Amino acid sequence: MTQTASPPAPAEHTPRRTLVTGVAFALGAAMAYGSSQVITRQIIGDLAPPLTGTLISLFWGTLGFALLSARNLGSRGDHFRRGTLFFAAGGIFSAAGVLLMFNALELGQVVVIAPVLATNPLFTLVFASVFLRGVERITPRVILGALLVVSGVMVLSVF
Amino acid sequence: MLAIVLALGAAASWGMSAVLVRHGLRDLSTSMGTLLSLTSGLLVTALLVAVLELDALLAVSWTGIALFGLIGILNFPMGRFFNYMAMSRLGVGRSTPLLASSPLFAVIIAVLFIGEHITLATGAGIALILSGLLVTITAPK
Repeated sequence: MTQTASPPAPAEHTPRRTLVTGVAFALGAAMAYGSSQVITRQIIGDLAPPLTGTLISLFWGTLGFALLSARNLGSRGDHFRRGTLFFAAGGIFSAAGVLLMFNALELGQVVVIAPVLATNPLFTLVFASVFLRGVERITPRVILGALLVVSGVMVLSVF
Repeated sequence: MLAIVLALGAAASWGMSAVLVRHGLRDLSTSMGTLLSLTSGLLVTALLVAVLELDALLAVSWTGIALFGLIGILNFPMGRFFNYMAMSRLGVGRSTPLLASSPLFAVIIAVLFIGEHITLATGAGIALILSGLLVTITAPK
């Protein structure tokens, strides 16, 4: 697996190649997530409670990724410890999100909960504008794009 | 009401996770970061399952283990790694709306392989998502 370069500074123009590969990776991730949603809906059924299912999926996913990327983890840079803390905290927040989602789905109806969950990109943009100041610029056009996607996902999740 | 608060908490947690990862991408390679985030998530989830659902874990069939494994491979080595690669190239602002379009792909797969039909509302949702993707992709940096 390839390594990544440092993210571009806010004022830099994104080179076309970086833009194309970035969009391809994003849509590839969205496709992988979308496929797993369909498999979860159609096949899994009552094989295990969602949290247990998540653990098994995470176990295989982590094992698979570790085997695939063992040779390409990259060298330890100057800020290895700081980077480790950021990623570990990111993983914990991600897992906490899954747990909260399962609890919400247990207490409420999917038709109500799914559109609320779909708002997560808006939270990302709000947090990014606060905590990534000087690292990234959140433009009005990016906000408009996120609002349109979130609205579309809400429509899909309700109907 | 509590369910909505919990759902908002989930959405906020994922939002915060993306911002933390974006910070981490300045210090570590995408591969190392993906592995670290998966490992920390695995440990937290294992702890929760050990406390809340240990009996359920011990009762999972081999079929269940294989199918959840398939989902795990799609979600993590592919989904999360590609997610972080996109974030490292586009930044969190532009990659987030693109990643949020995953239900669009779920609909496309369901229509192509499971025979689900596209209703007027589904079509409207797809149109909104595609408009959002176009606006995001063409947004100047």
